[in-house]
Amino acid sequence: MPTLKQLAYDACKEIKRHAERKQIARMIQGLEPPMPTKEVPETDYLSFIARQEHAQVFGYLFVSERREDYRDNSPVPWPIEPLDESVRKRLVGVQLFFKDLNSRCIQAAIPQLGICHEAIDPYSKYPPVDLTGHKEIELLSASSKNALASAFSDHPASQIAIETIQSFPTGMAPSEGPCTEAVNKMYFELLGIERPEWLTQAFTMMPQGALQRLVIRFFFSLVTLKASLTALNQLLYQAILHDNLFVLSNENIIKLRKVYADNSAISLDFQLQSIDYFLVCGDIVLVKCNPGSYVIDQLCQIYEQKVTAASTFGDKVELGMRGLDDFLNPLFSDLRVI
Amino acid sequence: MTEDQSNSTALPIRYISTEEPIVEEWRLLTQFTYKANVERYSKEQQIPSDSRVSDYISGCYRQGKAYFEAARNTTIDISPLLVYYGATNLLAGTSALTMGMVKKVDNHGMKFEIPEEGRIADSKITPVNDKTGALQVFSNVFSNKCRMVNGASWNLLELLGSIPDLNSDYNSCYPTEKPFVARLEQYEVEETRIERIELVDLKQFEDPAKQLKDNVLDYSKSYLEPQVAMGTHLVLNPKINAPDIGIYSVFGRKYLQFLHLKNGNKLVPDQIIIIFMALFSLGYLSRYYPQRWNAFVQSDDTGERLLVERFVDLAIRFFPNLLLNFIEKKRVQFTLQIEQTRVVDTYTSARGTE
Repeated sequence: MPTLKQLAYDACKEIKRHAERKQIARMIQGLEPPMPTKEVPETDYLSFIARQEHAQVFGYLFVSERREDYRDNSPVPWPIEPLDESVRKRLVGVQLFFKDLNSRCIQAAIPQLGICHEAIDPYSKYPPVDLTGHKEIELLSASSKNALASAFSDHPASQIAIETIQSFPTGMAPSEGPCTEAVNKMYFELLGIERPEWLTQAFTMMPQGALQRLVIRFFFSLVTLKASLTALNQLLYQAILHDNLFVLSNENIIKLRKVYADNSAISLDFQLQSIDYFLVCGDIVLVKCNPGSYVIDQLCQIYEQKVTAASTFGDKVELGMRGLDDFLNPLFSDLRVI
Repeated sequence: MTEDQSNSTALPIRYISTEEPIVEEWRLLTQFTYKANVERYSKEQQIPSDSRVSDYISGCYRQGKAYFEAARNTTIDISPLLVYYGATNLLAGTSALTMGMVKKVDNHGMKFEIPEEGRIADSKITPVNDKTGALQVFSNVFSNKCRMVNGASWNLLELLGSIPDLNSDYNSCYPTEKPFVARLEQYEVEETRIERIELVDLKQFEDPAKQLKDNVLDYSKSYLEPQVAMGTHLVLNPKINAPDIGIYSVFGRKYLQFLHLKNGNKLVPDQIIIIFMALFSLGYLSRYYPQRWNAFVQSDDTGERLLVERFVDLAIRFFPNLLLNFIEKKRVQFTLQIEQTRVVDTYTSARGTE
């Protein structure tokens, strides 16, 4: 039975063969404005801000729709041009694809927990964007989407979520709004390199059946599902943009700083010039290297990134990453013990 | 004496504190004038030992030492020839010691020519006799069977340009010629080993990064793509778990060696062989072209004499050291630093600060 990760790789190959894929990639890359010059000092910051949101295609649509909010709430009045309608139409088409895929996966994983569906949607922290009036660009066939959804339904976190909510005292189950808010808040706390203190306390000091631990376990499982689905979205989005997954190997790694057990987290430095596009947090890369008596072959998602450029000792990028398991889960090592 | 393994893929370094490195290195070499020490070494290295070979080794080291001492106490008129003879003895003795047998050598294995006019550096050396010529026989032992005899010639210029310790003097003496080594600056930045080359050292090359990638043997096995930093340096990041491909000067400064393309063969002879060939060239010149040599040492006004003197001094000091490295399979580093308590960062640290 192929894993979610294997099916995701197959889906990436299918996306690469799609007739519109290269045009979409060029269109998104074309949203990058030229460098400002004396003659044209200002430039359009839509692409820059959208990438900071780490929300794939959704980010571009959201920033375009809410550009005045960004301008008004920013210390610097970023000039943000709205998306051209032909561009917007295509981006909506792609986002409809992701929306459909996510919906299938969520429904397959926790059909019984309708109140939690929004919580694990990768874009639930944002108000919705207008996706009406346009058709989905079917980057994958229905059978491929269903295969992904079926594999996602085997996610161990879905079983944990279902079991723990059943253990809650009557009347304690959260409602949709608070559930979504709690999951989104916990998502950002959990996805750094270091485990937060409150989670360590939950593992070590709270008995298994304690209500507090059950609650943490429940929300943790939802966060895990959300993280896996986000990783799936990101991987497929990268397949639209780039010809190949970027590989960190002995050919570009300067130093392996830390490798945690089971490759659950890896931090390393690599040489900036070895890649022709800019890696950002949320991007997925493959770490495949041989540091000595062992081999690392691990799909990872970047959570920390620091660039050192124009230095007397050359350029480098420091990355902090979490390993992704067969369910594209960056929290797999904690899920085992929670 | 202390030992330090500063790079797990490089030769380990053996530091020896001394105020007289030449005395100390000969003390270590001449231990093999004693049969018992030869037998001990042979047993440790699992090499067959033989009484006649022990006598041969003893004779080689005794004569080698005598020649080197004589060379130190004489002038440039004859010192290159004496050092060459001493070097030949050392090579023969060390070869016998480390192989457990005497290699058959019938002649120098090199032919010498010099143009009627021009620089000493334009002297030409052609390796010959790949079976019993000294050069190829010793190259097989000390330079990983580097195929010196292939019909191509070398000139003294490229030999002198291939010696790390002469790099600065070579560049001064021949400012328009390309060097055959590149000097590295070694740093540890935020616990990461980084090496750099000043771009000015490679100014003779149109594309310094390409020069490294194409002309340093195994460059891509050991280093990532070179980066230009601030327009002044090439930064070389060693690959993780990569072999050390550097060669080292007397004081342990690291260099990268450019290969020599000879009749389609990419050759990177060991420093031992490079110095040996250069000594042959100068020794032969001084012995068989006294009129030319005399004019050179009396009235050179180009500055070449300074470089040649520097080379001969270096050979006297460093050639025995290189052979000691070969015998011990370590980089023997003589230092003035006094012995003191070494500070190590952690219990698991392999290195410490002194």
